[in-house]
Amino acid sequence: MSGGLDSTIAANLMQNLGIEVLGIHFSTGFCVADRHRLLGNTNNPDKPYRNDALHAGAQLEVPVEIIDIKDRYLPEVVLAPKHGYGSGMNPCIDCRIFMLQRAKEIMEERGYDFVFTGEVLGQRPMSQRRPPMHMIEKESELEGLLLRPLSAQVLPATIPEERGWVKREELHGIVGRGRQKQMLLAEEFGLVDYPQPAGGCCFLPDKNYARKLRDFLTHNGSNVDSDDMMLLKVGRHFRLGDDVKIIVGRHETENDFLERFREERGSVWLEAYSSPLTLIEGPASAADLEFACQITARYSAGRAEAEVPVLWNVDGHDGQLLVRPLSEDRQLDEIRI
Amino acid sequence: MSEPQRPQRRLDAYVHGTLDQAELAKLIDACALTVDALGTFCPEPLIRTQNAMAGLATGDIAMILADDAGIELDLPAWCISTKNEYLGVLREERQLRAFIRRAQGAHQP
Repeated sequence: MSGGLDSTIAANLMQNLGIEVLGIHFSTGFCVADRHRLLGNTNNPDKPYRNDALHAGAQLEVPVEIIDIKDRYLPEVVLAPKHGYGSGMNPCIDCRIFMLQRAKEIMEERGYDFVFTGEVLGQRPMSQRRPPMHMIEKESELEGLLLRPLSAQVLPATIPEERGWVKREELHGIVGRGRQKQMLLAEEFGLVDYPQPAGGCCFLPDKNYARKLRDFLTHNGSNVDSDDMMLLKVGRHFRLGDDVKIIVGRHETENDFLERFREERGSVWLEAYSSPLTLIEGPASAADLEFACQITARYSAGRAEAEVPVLWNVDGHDGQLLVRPLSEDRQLDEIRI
Repeated sequence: MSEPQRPQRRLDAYVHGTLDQAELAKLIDACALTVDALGTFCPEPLIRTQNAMAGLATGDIAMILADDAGIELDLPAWCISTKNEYLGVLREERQLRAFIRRAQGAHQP
């Protein structure tokens, strides 16, 4: 249960049919909404930062449990997907199988009878076509017990339908990428304030994030933690060498966020001009440090000056360099991740 | 007969909690459990709350310490969905103290 439109109306539909519903929301560490929460985005007061799955649970009065799968998700799903990646580093089929396997475990432990999702046939290009949907059901070992109520009428009948727990004619046969039918159902059910449809909720399909994640894994191996994953969502990233990378904050909110990670990393900033905070990851040489200072100055309000003083802190030592702000964007493009 | 309130209207009303600030302040030293979620962000505060509440008895009160402002929406929503009682929140300079009471018949993970 993501709290998006499809999973919410699927849950409402099943409730209306007299099914006792438990919503399961998986936390993978790659959630787009988490980034907004981290940065404390307040640009849009009409969209306060909230967990959409919990909000949907409250609208429907359906209990929602949040299951933290971060520790297993990265090594078992993201780094070694049996069914490959989509356009980014999104292992959508393996992800779906992994989550459904966990859902099956919960179903069996707690005495539930079947699993349902808000999947719609033909909506997502990688995981929501007939062959992968069939494979996902089989590999999650939920054959017959995985119901997709929004598209049930165009999919093979499931055990819940055969046993009369739900009536097939009361389910739907939605197909394709449009959202009009789902929005009409939401209106019919009296559901308000759902997240805008078609918004992706995961970072992994994003090509920019995928590039940064691949770079990180290439240079750091699979020894990653949740802080590393979170830092990839913030700032401009530049690779100065095999072991050295810098992250440059793009605005005050990102600078405030990067401050939390300053202690374990080198840092560069200006005080004479408004400036990004730059974090240095890895053992920076003197040349790396100077380059980091030039890049930081390039993104500061002193970028047009001939020389600016830049402060740095590396391995507990403080210092200052007078540098010429980097002016060649071509140089940046070569090292931009 | 008045129309039953839709959940959305209940959520709006519930965000304020069922106790006032003075009553909440008295709970700081009287709660059964403190959940420390400082420095963590969604969904970690809710995961910690959810797991901690599973061990409480009906009527017990948990205090959640957090600095993720979003819990002011998430905790009431979680309470409605699990049928626990959201008591309210005290806003301090650098943190929030939110209070929940375990209700009879609340969802047990």
